[in-house]
Amino acid sequence: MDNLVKKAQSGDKEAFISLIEAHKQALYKIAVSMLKNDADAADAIQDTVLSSYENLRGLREPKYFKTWLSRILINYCNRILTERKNMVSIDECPELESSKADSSEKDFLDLLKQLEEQYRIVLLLFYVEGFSIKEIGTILEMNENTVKTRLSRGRSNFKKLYLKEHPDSKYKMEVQE
Amino acid sequence: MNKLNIDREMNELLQNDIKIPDIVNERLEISYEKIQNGEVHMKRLRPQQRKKGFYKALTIAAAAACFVLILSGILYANPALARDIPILGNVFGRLQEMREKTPYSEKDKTAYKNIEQHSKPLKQEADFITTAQDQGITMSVSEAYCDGVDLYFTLSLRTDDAVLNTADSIDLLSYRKDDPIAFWSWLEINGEEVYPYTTISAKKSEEGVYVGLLRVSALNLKAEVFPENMTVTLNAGGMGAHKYNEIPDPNIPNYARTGFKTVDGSWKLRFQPSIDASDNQTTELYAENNGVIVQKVVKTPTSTHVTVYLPGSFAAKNPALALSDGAGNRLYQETAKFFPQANGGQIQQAVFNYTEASDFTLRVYDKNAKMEEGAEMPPLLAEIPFSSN
Repeated sequence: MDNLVKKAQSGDKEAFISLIEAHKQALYKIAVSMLKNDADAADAIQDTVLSSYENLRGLREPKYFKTWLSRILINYCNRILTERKNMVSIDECPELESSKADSSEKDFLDLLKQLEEQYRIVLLLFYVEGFSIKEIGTILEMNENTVKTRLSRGRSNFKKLYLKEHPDSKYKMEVQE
Repeated sequence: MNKLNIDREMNELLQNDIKIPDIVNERLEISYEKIQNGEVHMKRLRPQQRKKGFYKALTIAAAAACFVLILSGILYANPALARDIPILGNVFGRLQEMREKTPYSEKDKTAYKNIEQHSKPLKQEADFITTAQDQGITMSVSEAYCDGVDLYFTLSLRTDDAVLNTADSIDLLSYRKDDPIAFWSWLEINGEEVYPYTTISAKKSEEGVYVGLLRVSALNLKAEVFPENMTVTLNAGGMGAHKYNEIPDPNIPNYARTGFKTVDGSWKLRFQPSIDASDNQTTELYAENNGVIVQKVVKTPTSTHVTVYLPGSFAAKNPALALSDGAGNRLYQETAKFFPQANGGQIQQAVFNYTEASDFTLRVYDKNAKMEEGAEMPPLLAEIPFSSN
């Protein structure tokens, strides 16, 4: 992956597109979990792709490409959230239930919908992206203790929600309150 | 809690690939095309971002230091002269030049030329301070314009600080009494705290020079109108240096505000913009479709303000407004402010780009609805043609 970043930095457009394709799933998961609708997620992803291409040479360490890209995306998502914060409560947004047919997608989105806002992005970055606690702290501008607390509480919330919706979970008997 | 099993289950669920919706794939394809066609360019590193640029940066810093020494010597000898020295010749020219250099200049259709034409140099009277200096940083406001709906003013910073000079933008910070944490600066209009559309910051124009155009909406004031005799005060206690798309340093507290370098000091400006609403065109109307009502249009020399009522039943649809002129050209929406109503509805004051058009169509879309296959836009909730004066 680092080689691909270096190739892209040297002007190889196809290398850059390959990088984005490799991170497409993660970009979409982060954007839709923050914005909760596909149209805004598409806006944020497009801005992120163009902006990251423009500024790619400013990335000094290729190994931080994923962190850097996620940070740019989160900035764009936050900008969209700020713009629409007074419009409609996301809890009222019915899209996540109504418009998704694919079952894996529905599970994913159902889970996100039920998690509290403050835990959602931390869990996503930790479990989906595989970022370390320190990296998440950097991306979200939080100190590591806050990340740890949110991760712990998010995990606990997930457990309650998941078992409520999946009473036949194979792990049910092993989980203790 | 059996943490291991929960982790395993979360991993299984969250790491599964999910279907990327068509709208996202389409937008990615558009982005790829822009990159492949050369519509978007990878920026070159500026010399000071390269190692070889070190000596150049040193030379520039030394030259800047000499300049400031000379300048500060003059100002120290004759403080009265400071007020008369134009810090920057043509702030609007610089703003326009910076805007045109951005690859997405078409996205920012702020009517700079109109703002420039209507702006007036600020009064240089004893009670007003349009230039402030501290810590080697000179901050000044030179021109302002208020159309009664929005207030615009230019802000420029000049610095000899070599590290600060590596910033792409500089945010103004202020401290509240007895609070050591810096916040983004605010303004006071006749003593009332008010925030502009964006943080008060200036972007790099050239080595050592940063400029910005600030915009304040009357809606951000309690009375929602600018007072007739308006005195604007800006009291900055710090400057935070930022780079585009920077990765925050976890070792610097409040990085989002303070940036990679903060310079504390005291810069106070006080100026009095005059209000000139003579070029505004206001149309009161009642144009309705499907419960959506266009109530008022105010066309100012800088933007188009449309007041729209949205019924409560639309709240969960995340309605999106799209305004087009009579020729079908869509006007870029700059911002909006929302006023919830007792009946569950909402009045939205939407601000669009400046236009000379007088015929419009407002379309309201259901942004939360599932897109039909092959559809270019979400389902339409209302379509309202109307005319202004």
